[in-house]
Amino acid sequence: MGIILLVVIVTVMFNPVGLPISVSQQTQDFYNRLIKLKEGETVLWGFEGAVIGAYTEKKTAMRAVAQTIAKQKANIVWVSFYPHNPGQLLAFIEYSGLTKPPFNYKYGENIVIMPFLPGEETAMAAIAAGLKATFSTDVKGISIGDIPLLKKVDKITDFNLVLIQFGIFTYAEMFMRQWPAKYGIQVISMCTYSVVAAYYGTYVIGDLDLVRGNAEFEKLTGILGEDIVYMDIRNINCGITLALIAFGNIALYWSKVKKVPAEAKK
Amino acid sequence: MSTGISRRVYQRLIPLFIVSVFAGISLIVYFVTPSAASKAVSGEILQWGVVLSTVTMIYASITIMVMHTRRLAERKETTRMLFNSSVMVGSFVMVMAIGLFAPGGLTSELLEAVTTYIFGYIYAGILTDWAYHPYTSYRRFRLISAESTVMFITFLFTVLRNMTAVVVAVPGIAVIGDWIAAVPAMATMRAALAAAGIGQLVLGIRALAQREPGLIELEMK
Repeated sequence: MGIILLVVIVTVMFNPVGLPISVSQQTQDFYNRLIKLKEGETVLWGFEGAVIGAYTEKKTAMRAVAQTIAKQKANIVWVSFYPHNPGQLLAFIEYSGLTKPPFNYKYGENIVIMPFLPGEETAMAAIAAGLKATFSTDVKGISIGDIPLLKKVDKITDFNLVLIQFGIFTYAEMFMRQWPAKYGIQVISMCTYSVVAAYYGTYVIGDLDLVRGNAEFEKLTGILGEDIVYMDIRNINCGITLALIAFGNIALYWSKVKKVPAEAKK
Repeated sequence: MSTGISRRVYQRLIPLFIVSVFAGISLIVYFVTPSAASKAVSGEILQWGVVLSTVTMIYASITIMVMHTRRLAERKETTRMLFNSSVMVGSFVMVMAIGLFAPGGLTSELLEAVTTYIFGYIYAGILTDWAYHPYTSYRRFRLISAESTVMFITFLFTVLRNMTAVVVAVPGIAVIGDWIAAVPAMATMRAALAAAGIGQLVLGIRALAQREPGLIELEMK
C-alpha cells in the first residue's frame, strides 16, 4: 500500500489534477486582516522553523503572505526562535521577490530580520517587552539605532499586526501567554488550526491551517505555489487511505462471518 | 572520608533552588498589578532567562558531542551506533567550521546552501515516510471495540475536513471538522497541559524537599 501511495504522490506531483479547493473561514479571516493593513504600518512576524526542511515546504505560502503584505505597502520585522531561521529568512527575502519590482522593498526601511534569540517562551517575552532592550543589532550586524524601520517600533504594542508562524504545537500556548494575553492584542497565525482553535475569535483572528490553509490562501490571492499541488496529493491520498480502511474492515468482518458457520458445522 | 560538597547538592539542589526562586518570583509578578518594581524584576529575570537558555544550549551541545566522541574513541558499540555517532560528530564539525570561518557566519551563503540542499533534501526524503502513515492507519483502524470506533469516527471527520475537494461537495464537513478541533480536541489538550503543569509544580516541590529520586541517585549507585 505504501508503494501505491508513493506512486500516486510522484505522479500527481508532476501532473497536478487541479481538484477543487474551498476557502475556509479561517483562511478568509486571515486574508481579510492582511488587506486591512495600511501603507506604512508594520507587521511583526514571529517565525518558528525548528525543522530545517520545513521552510522548504512552507516557503511558497510564506511568499504569498509576504507579497500580500507588500501589496498593502506595509513593513515586516521578523523575529525567530531557532539558530538557522535568520539565514533562511535572508534567503526568503530574495525568494519572495519583495526587493524586486513591483514591490522594491529596501532592507532596513521596509523589512528587517532580527537575530535568533534562544529561550523559546523567555525569548517571546523579551521580544514583546521591547526589541531595543533585547537586541543590539539585526541579523546583518547593523546597530539597532541605525535601522530606520526600528525607530518606529519597539514594543509589541507598537506593531499594527502580529503574525505567528510555528510547527511545534507547544508554541501555541507560549505565544498566547506572552503576546496576546499579556498585551491585549490579537494575532493571525500560520499553524495547525486545532492548537489555536480555543483562542479563535479572541486572541487569534485568522489562521492558515498548514497545507490546507496555505493552498486556500494561494488560491484566494492568486499567488500560486506548491501547496496547491500538495493539496491535490492530499485529496487523492486521503481518499485512497479511507477507502482502504473501509475495505480492510469489510474484509475483517466478512472473514469473521465465514468463520462462524464453519465452527458451527464442527 | 569525603569532605567535598555532595554531588546531589551542587548538581541538583542548588540549581533547583535557584530555578525555584526565579519561578516563584515570576509566578508572583504574573498575578500582582504591574508596577515599576515588578516590571523591573520581570525584565531582569527575562534577560537572565535568555542568558541561561543560551548557556543550557551550549552545555547540551557539548555534552552530546562528548558522548558521541567518547563512543567513537572507545569503539565498544555496534557498527550502526558508531556510524550514527560519526555522522553526528562530522555534521557538527562541518557546521561549526562554516559558522566560524565562512564569511557571513550563520547567515553565510555556504551555510544556507548546506541547510537547503543537504539538510532540506534529507528532510524531504524523511517525509516520504509519511507514505507509510496511511498504511499504519489502515492497519490500526480495525473497528473491533468502542474506543477504536470512536477514534475512527474522529479520524474520519478530521481527514475529510482536510480534503478540500470533499468540503466543496459537502460543506457541512467543515463545520463538523472545525468543531472537533475546537471542542473535544482542545479540551483534551488543555486537560493534558493542566495535568502536566500541576505535575511539574509538585515534582519541583518534592525535588526541593529531597523526596524525589532522580538520575543523580541512579548514577551514584
